[in-house]
Amino acid sequence: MRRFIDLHLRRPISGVDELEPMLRLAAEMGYSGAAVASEGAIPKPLRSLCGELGLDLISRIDLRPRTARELTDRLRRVRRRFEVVAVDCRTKAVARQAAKDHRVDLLDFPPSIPTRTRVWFDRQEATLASGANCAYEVNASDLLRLGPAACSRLLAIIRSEIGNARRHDVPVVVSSGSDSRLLMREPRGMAALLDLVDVGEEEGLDMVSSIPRKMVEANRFKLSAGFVAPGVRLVEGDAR
Amino acid sequence: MPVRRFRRRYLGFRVASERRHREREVADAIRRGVLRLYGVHGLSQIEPVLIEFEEESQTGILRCSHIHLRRMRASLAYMTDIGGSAASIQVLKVSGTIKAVKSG
Repeated sequence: MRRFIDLHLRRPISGVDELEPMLRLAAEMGYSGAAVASEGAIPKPLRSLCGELGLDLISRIDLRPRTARELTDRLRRVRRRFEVVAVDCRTKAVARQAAKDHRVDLLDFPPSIPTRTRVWFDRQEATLASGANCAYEVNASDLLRLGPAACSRLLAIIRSEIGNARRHDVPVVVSSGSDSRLLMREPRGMAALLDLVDVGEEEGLDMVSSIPRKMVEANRFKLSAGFVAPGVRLVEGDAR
Repeated sequence: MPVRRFRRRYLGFRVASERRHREREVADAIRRGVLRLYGVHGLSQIEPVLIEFEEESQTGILRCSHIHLRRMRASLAYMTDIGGSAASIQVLKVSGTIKAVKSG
């Protein structure tokens, strides 16, 4: 049985109070885990609510650096505090730096068409991301917020970005990216939306289940006390 | 000569919105949603039909072609408004019979 994860819930503009119904809805929709993008710590009542709902709460940060230097500085400070680190690539320099940095988990690109035609997940970006094990993220809310004309252009861009990701074995993750309950979609609905960018049913379901789950598990292992380096783990009792 | 019957899928769903919606509004929104995403050709293939809608609970059952279930789901996921107000449709259960959808 698949275990679905929504790797991107944004903090609502109305306040943290709106997060509670969003998390309840996520559990109702069949998600077993949800990542809330937040600079600070997630309030304790929300953590205990997730425990009650059986929802695995994942900590995530969305970085929006203006320069490559700012990105590396911020990564140094936040990497060990969050389970998922995503970078909003607003400039080419930031996108390139993010794609080759092992500390970055997810690459997000702007939904605005003029910006996206300049900064997008092109072949060079895919080559770098493949080497650094970064994943490319599609936010369903980006599609829902646009009108038909802009949406059709964005779909064309996402289609070629997914093509680039496939060619270079870069994992693709699909998240809701929602900041309100009305923008949240059930996992199978989100995977079905990928029909618009020529992604098959099983592949689409993987993008909302096994791919994000593996990423979170790997990061939790890296953040655990016994982790030394990739492939090296401190086993209890063997430390001399 | 035996005639092959078209297989169908029934989707139990719930409308989430800022206000309550009437059956007709929901039926129109679903048709427009499919039309917007897949056009007239897609609408003729998917064949969405609203079987029933309870205005009290804002839940209903929708029928579509078995082959085009994924497209039906995509159309529902892509919908952001019903009758001019922000709304979303959440699929609760999918089955081959109305009875099974109602039981779940």
